[in-house]
Amino acid sequence: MMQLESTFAVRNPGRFTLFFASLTLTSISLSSGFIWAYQGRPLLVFLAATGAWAGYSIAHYAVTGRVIDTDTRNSEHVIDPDALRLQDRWRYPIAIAGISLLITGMYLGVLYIRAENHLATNLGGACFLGGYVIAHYAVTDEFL
Amino acid sequence: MSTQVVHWPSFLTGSALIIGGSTIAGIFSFQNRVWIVFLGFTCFLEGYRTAQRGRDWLTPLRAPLRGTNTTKAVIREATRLFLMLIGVSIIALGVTKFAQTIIDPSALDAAVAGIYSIGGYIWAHTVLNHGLL
Repeated sequence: MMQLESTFAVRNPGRFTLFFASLTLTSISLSSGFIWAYQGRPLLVFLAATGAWAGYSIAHYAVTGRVIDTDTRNSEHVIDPDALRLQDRWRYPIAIAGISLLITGMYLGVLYIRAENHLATNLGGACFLGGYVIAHYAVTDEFL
Repeated sequence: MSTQVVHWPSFLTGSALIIGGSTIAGIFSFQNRVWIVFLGFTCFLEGYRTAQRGRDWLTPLRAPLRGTNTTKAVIREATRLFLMLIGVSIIALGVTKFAQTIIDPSALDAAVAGIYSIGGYIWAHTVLNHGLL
């Protein structure tokens, strides 16, 4: 059922465009935000943080119909053992590949933030967010 | 696809905490002040919980009380909060390491920063949302 929900979001051009555009806003905001933090410019960092959170929330809405995940705390356990396992074996390598891409994005970020290159830092931002989306899909069947 | 009725006052209050917290964490990570980065991410976490729970954030035990007694729920929520703060500490260490690696580049430190950041995130998310990501 959850897989069908995500498939619906991909097949709906409006939702997919909104997802892509808002994650692009998040990447731009994160990239410039880290460069501004490196330069010690708090007001611009605040502006970037606003853009990043707004972009993420809108992207989350585009693919799930919710701006934020609902409260799913278990009323019996602090950590439900089922939450630590993935449904199928094929999900593990995909999740690990996504997390590896995410960490690669951080590595690229180190290089380009230091160079204060706003455009190139988005390569790191795209890898970071793309890796997150891949890993999240492997774990939950939803992009965010 | 399910849609959600957002409790906007809670979402906007939570969002303000998230934005303020991440601004503090971002700025102070470059000054290598881990404790202030930790406070920034704690602010972020509380903002996320506020945004997520809508009206329930004013009554934090309402959801966990379902089908159990008050003492158990208080112990469970206190344990959950403690475990989440451990996750936040790991994130704070990871992001501070990331910022310091930008100032003084090192491939090994960049990898360590990535592993700490995503590891802390997975830890905190599992405690908060009952899923790895």
